Amino acid sequence: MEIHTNNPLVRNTKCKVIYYKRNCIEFYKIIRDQVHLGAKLLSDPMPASRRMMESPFRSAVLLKPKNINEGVDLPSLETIEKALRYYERMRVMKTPVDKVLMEDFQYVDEQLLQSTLKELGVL
Amino acid sequence: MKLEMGNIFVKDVVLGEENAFEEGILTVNVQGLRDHLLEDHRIGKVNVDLAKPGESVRIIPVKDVIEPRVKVVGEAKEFPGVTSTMATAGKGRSHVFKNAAVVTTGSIVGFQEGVLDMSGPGAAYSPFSKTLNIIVELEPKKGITQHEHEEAARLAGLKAAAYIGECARNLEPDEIETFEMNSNAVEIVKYPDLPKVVYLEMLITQGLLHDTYIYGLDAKQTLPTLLHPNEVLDGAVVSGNCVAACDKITTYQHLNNSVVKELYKRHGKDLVFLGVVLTNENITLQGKLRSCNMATNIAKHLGADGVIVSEEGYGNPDSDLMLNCKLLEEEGVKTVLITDECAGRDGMSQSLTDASPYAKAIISTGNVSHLVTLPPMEKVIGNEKAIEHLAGGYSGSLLPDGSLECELNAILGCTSEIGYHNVTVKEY
Amino acid sequence: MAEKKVVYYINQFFGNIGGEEKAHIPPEETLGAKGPAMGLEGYLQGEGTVVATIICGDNYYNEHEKDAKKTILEMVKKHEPDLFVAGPAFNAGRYGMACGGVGKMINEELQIPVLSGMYEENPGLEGAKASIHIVRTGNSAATMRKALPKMGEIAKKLLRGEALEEPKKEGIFPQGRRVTVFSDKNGAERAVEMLMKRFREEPFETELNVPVFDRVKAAAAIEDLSKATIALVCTGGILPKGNPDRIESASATKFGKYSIEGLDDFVEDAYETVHGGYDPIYANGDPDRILPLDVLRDFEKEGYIGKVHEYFYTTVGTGTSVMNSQRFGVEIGKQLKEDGVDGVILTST
Repeated sequence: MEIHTNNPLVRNTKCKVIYYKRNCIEFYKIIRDQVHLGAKLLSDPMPASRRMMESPFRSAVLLKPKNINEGVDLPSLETIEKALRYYERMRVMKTPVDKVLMEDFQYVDEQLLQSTLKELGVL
Repeated sequence: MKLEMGNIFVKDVVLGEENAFEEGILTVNVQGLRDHLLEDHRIGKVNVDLAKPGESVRIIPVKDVIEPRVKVVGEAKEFPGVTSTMATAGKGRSHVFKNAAVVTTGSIVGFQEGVLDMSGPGAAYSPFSKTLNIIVELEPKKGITQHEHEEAARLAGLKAAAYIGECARNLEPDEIETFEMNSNAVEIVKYPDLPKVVYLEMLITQGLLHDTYIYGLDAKQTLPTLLHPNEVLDGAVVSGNCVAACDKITTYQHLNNSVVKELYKRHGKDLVFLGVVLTNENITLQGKLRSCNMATNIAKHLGADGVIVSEEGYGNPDSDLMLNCKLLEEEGVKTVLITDECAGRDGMSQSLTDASPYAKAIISTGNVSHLVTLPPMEKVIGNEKAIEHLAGGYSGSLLPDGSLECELNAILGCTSEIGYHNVTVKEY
Repeated sequence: MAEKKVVYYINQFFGNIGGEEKAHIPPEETLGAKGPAMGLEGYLQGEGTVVATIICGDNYYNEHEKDAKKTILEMVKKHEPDLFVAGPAFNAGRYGMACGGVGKMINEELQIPVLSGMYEENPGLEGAKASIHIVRTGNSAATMRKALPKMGEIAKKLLRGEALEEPKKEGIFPQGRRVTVFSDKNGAERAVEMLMKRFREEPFETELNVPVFDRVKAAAAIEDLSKATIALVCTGGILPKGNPDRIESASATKFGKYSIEGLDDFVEDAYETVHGGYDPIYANGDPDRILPLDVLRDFEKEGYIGKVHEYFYTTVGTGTSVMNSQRFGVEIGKQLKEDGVDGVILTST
């Protein structure tokens, strides 16, 4: 199990954390590529409210395949494609993020990730 | 189960030195309330204010809204499992101060929202512009975490409502509303020809600022559960949702759940109301599958002919909404979904983040991206700075003349997905 | 008050210039109303005048879209019209694509309202309905008598600057614009009412139409490629030079099936593309760029694949109606299955 994130606040001792200094769309594309290479998405990387959609920070928990020929997990692919498609569409209508709020967005994303990890039993 | 609500109609609220109710006027003991809430060492400062319908007042950011009540007969007190010992809610008798509401404010994070205008064009967009609001402004002690702040603020609102509600204990209600429903087995026999309906209520349960509590238990940790409608109306569900002002189910709205009330109204006449299945909205994909399968299985096992499904939030929960719909419809159970939409400023974008060919009957409670301009208000209660960060304007939402530009997303209760308000969408 | 000006767009047929044989004519302008524009002007009852009618061949538009748009814009601009009307196109695909394409462009460039009329299956509807107002018409020109008065009513409202009522009431296609309003009932009441209608099997109207994405189940992977027969299919319009079956360059109503037995390579002398929606220079230069026959033959020789199927299938995928696309897919698929084909390289352009 691995945590992939573009949130510099994310740290974890039980799971490998891979940090990308990328914006949300680039991050989603990286996750999509991972899914194409056989990784399974354990969490939905799309937020649960309009306000959180504006946050540039995302974290996703992935399960790496044992070997590359395991095939693509279609539900994972659908999930990341939906998130990517929706975010790309929202870019047209989203407002620029207040620098002041960046810290808050980082914090909440990190906290939501903690809840996800707890549910997955890795906290 | 039988629950009697003794409704006491409040005509006005004043701040004073004693809790009292006379001739429709509710007096709130300000110092007493402050002292009561400051017993929680996490709270540094409490300020009490009032905001009444028609006044030029803006409240921001709203954390929660709670209805002042007191349990006069019954084992369960207000908010069992939270502010009182666990016991089954939904029985006995409560006295309720109708038309009054406790509104808590305080920024736990900067991007938190919840604008409430008591007059002007913004008022029509919030159901709480019509209640007499007792505002409790809370400031945390320095050094406490956001988690502690959220919990303290949540409990403070509930305690304030109970403190004020206590005043209603020995009053004679203006009316008694009775909510009585036997077990499903009995009710189905009573009305054999009526269609059977379950209310599947989705609750936001994803983490900090995105939580809900059932009898005090963090609903992230629960499996879908069947509750008697009276339990929902009597304080079994409490809100910890601070992010999406437009569609968060405030505790007030849980206590007055509009779908529950409407189904209750029609029970025995048009339908048999089989109960409320509370289900959560998980972030993990396995969790989504688990909750949707289990929740819909409960509805099917009860023999539902139809299910009303309501959502809380937007984005990844849309997948749960569509999955719940599919799992019911493909077995012949008729569904109606209640959701808001995010169709963009121009209303031209795809409204939901997920779709299903089974979702043929949907009630829309509004486009959260619809932009409104709210005129300046004479008084702002809460954190004026929060106005600058509302979703809406391009470089802050404050315009040079003091007006506020923001999306409906920021307005409290505007697009309630339990159908509490009357905002909707037409397609042109 | 200055009289309101309307500029009208029609194709070669409605402009009385000719039929299919004149579908290649470039845009030309006449002053005043011609063809259906005359009828519409009558229904305006003095609230507007058609100052010019532009006639353009359907094939010309679809094959020279960029040039056609440029010319038409110049023609329209100088009149400074208050309204632009195109069609009605009924179910004519190429005409619908032209009405929609030109209409959208005029709306964007001149910021004036645009009106047209189409049948619900017209392929021109999808791309244009968000930008222009399109009246629902019957599926053939025989319903012109019903279409024009409806268009006249809407045209009058647009000229007056009046807001249009709900699409259903007005008889137009919804543009897809979600407008937030207040209802006299709360959402819960409306929800339970809708459920009761479902129980009583009464008609009800959903407040939100969810797009339905057609899901086709993916076939199982080919186990042994070295034994498989692979066929070539495309919507890029590659076919024998001269287009013996007269496949249309847009809004195709048929597909072609041609033998490639003994052929190693598509050469430019013998094959061409008739697809009207992309610059054909590279496809004509080497049709293998669309249908990779040369590479497949190499694979066949190497034993990487079993064999190349003896027929290839082709059609043109611009402005193709959904119904026809589905029909082609099912028919071609049936034939391929009967012929023992295991896999297909399907090139879309």
